[in-house]
Amino acid sequence: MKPFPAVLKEKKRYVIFEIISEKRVKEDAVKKAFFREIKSFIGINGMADAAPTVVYFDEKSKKGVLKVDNRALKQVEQALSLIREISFNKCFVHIIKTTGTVKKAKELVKRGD
Amino acid sequence: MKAFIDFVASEDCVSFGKKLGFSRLLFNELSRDKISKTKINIISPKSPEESKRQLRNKMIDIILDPFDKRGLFIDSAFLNIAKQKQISIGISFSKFLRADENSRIRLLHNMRRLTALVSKLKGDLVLMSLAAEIYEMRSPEQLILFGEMLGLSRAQATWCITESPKGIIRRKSL
Repeated sequence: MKPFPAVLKEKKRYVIFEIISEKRVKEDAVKKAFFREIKSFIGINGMADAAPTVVYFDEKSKKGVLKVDNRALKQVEQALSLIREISFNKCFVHIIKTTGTVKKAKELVKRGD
Repeated sequence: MKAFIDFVASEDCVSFGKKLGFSRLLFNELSRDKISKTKINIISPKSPEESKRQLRNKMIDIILDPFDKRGLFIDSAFLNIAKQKQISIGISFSKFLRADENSRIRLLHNMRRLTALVSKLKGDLVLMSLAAEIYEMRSPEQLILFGEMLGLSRAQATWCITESPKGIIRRKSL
């Protein structure tokens, strides 16, 4: 299959985040909470543009990677900072860094930076 | 490197805030009875009359969230007097965070109007987390994003958590 030219490719960013909470949180619960909060903040129309997806989450270190469209990055980051609880656990999402490749993002999470 | 300053409502948050990247955190209780010369006095008025009354008080440094469900408590005359008296207008992130989904709409509307007015009249605006617990705290980057959500530019939002609080600290010589 012939690949798309660079102009037509989707431009993605990978947000490295950390959940700061007392208790352990499960990946499913994180995905649900992110989806709910982002949808509540930017709406269905915005969600379609942003297409946020949790691509990696380490339950032990509570760090993960969220894939999001380049144009909606700021709105998604704003929505993440409004999360107060995940499955009835008080918590907050700390955004560590944003990268351009999933490889680098996963590397940073595994290294513990 | 910029020196980020935040105001918190609990002493537990002071040490945690440094881990998030703040260089200084000021613990402030929102109480009308505890106004003193030595500390930064933040007042959150409950009515337009109260906000006007507080403007006459020389000890007040920050008037926090001067609005309710019905609208803003302030007008351009109020902002001009506040500017002359070196009183800053504060916006707290925790108020927005604690509100439910429906109240957030009205709150965001009022906060955006307030931000636009203060920027237009070149008043002093301070963004603060005013967190009562560590889960209400946010990093400086996230507070800047909150400022951008309110309609400020990135530079303006950064100014609101660096230079504006620094000016108040300098005036109070803390």
